[in-house]
Amino acid sequence: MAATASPLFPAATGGTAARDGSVVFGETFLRKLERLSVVAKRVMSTRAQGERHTRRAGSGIEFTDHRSYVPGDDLRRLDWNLYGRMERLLVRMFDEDEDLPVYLLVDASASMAAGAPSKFRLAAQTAAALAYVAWSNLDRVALYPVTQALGGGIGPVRGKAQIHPVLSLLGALRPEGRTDLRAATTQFLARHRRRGVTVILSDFYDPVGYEEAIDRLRYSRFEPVVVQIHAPEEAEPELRGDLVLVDMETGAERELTVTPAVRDDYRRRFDARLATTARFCRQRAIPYFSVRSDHSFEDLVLRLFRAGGVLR
Amino acid sequence: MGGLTLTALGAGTVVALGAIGSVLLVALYLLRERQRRAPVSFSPLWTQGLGLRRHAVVGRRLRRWLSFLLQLTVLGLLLLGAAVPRRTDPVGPARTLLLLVDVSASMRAIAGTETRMDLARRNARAVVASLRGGDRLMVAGFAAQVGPETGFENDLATLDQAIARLQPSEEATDAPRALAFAASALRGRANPIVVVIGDGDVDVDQRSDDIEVRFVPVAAAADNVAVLAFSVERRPADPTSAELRLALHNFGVGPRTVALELRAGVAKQLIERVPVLLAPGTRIERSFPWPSTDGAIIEAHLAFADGGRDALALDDQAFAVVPALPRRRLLVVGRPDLYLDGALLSLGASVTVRRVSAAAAETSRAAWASQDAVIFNGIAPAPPPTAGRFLYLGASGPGSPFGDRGLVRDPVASEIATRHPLLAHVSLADLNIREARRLAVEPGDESPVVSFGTPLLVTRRRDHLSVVALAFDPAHSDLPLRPAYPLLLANTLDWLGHDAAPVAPALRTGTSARIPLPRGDAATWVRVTDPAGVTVRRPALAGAVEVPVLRQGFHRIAPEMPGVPPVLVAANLASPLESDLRRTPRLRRNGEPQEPWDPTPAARPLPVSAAGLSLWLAAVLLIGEWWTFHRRWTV
Repeated sequence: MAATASPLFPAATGGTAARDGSVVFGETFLRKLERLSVVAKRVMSTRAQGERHTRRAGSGIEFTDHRSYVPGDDLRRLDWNLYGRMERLLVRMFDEDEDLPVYLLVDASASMAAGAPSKFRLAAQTAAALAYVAWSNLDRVALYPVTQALGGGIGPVRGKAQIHPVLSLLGALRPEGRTDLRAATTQFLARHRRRGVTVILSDFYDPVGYEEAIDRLRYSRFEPVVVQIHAPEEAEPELRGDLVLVDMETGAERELTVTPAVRDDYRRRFDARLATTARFCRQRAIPYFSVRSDHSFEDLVLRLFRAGGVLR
Repeated sequence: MGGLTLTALGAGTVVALGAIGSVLLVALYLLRERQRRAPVSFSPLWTQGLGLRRHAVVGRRLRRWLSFLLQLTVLGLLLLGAAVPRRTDPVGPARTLLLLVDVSASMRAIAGTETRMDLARRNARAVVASLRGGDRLMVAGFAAQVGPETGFENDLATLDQAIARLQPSEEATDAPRALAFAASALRGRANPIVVVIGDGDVDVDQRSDDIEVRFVPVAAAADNVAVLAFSVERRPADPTSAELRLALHNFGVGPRTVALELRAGVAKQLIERVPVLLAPGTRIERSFPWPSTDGAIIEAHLAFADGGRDALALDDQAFAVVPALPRRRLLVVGRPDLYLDGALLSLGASVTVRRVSAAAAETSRAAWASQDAVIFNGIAPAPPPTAGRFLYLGASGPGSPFGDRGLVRDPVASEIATRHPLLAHVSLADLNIREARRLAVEPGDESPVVSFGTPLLVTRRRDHLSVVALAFDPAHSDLPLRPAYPLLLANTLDWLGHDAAPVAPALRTGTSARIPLPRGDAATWVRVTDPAGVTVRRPALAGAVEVPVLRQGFHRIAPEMPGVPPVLVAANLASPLESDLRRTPRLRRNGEPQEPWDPTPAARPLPVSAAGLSLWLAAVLLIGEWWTFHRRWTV
């Protein structure tokens, strides 16, 4: 198979192929991904069997405990031997292998087009890798582009074969529109009642604020993971002189003379914004990652996420 | 009140250039307004804290307009500077000035670290700077001749260039000629003023009263030693040698020791080096015998004992050419005389002798004045001649110019003035004379040889008349048998010919010399090469060529005639007025000294022209714009 470059993913030899023929991940990288799994701090209630042990009485084979029968329990799980000896209706409890819903919210607003490589590219690559990790553990994955609303996404679905629709979806996305995480999470929560790990890949340039959106996820007992991506030129801008600044999302224009002092002010505000986001997440025990768009997504997935406790 | 007049560019040109420049500036301004668009991910990060206060926006726009107006102002100032504006509101009526700048040889003199010419140029520029609107000025340099450098101009740049072109010559000053030129050039012009800048005296006579003459002296007194005269003379008495005469003058206030070096030939071989001590203000004349090589060139140089130099180097050297022996025509009137003929033969081929008998003396009288000398041998035609050069051998009778008061027998030369020119190398001791006539001596006559109060040899020099008379007939003495006889004759001919045919001194620079050509009347062309090597072709008319002598040194005159060798002519400055650097130059009107004029009074405003001021202001504005722009004060 001829290896051609994908707009999102680097070419590699012997990897997983997208439907359009482009190679997605390298073979070695895939093997590494298959050894990983998404970590949920709280065991989520599931309805499908997966590879994740839960404390819920389920259909597993490993006995764990008994509990009192309550109406509605499966009569097949009553322990008749105990009933004979103790005359109490007790239900046998087994560790059930439960799947974990993993939700990937990828910011596809216009500001994600910034950077070389763009922030969206890293977000999409990372999302695809996380999806693959989840599918490798028989977890369910749902992926949604996020702008001022929740875009049409995929899932929740299971199975590695779903990587192709995911890649197609990501490859077809073009960063555009504004960012409104609050509206997007509201729609997300209305669409998904089942709690799970929710990874938000965004630059968090939300004029109305991202805090409420994350808090809503928390209030709904979702486990948010924040990946804040910024472009190198956002951290170290090269702008100078007389300019008309054009906001990539709103299109708002503002004349500005960029002097060294103005640049310094910008840097201070930028660093403060990153620090604020990090502090916000830390105060809420939310895993938080801040990466530049030119950061290797392999390093992000294989090292940073593992070090941050998102993957193991 | 008037306004400004543009001298370098016309008003139409200025307007056209201004329009083009304004269009360009407007285009550049519009381009500048089209600022670069820079997309950013999150503009609040940039604009937080900047605010959008209206007055800030207004201020920014005002600064841009101010910057635009600044550029237009700079353009206007540049155009104004290029147009070289001048005031048209004169304080008084427009004047016509003629600036005469002395460019004579003395202007080469060093005054401190610069020359007098530099001082004169500075003064000339001050005069130009003092011009008022409407004034017109002509710049002319003058020495022996006057050379206008401009017409009557009011363009400062042209006048400045003309002043810069003025260079000192090697000629002496002729101020009257320059004033005459000025009077001629200013005749009929409004409010004429002559401004003379120089280091020589200027005398204005009554005729120039209608023209105001202002004098700016270039006074920088300096010590100077000069060769004031340098010439070579040939003596018929000694055709084998020449006499080199030289005069030195110390114009300084202190004694000066110089080494006089005489060099000969094209190779300038050092022949003589003579130390000379010159007291202040003294003149020393020296003469040196010199081998008589026709056409040989000689140079005299002054070398200063301390290895230094004096203020004027030009007059520390002089040039001379050994002239050919002058050809002399003698007329001998009287009896045939073998002794006389023999003595005359000893004078060589340069002497042509024509003989006339005593009976034909009267018929030859008309030719006497044109002869170099007429020798009356034993006769004295009456009446005695009143003009010419004559030698009487035994003057007696009514025709004797000294009268005849009787006879003296056996006279003895009791008193002999051995230093008299007639007696140079002549010994008359034990001269035997049978008889002599008693001559009547008049005041002014000289008697180099006297016999107890009776003159035996008498000389008389009057206007156009030179007479030497022997009171005895040589045939009645043993003088013809003595070596003294031909010497006495040669000395007599030299003495007689001294005023008649003086050895031509070297030419003086600034003069026009008429040089006779070797071959007579043929009209031809002559190539004249001056000491600087500049060759000019000049016509020769009537056997002579007129050569303007502008430079000191040897001038080579080569007739375009086959077989005619070139002639060398020496020219020297030889001007005490130019060499005397301690004189205080003055302007005298009808003999009355006048106050010098200072063209740069203290109250004069800064010598910055409007053009220069405009350019300076434009430069300052540009620098200010650059400074503030790069600090984002004006954007």
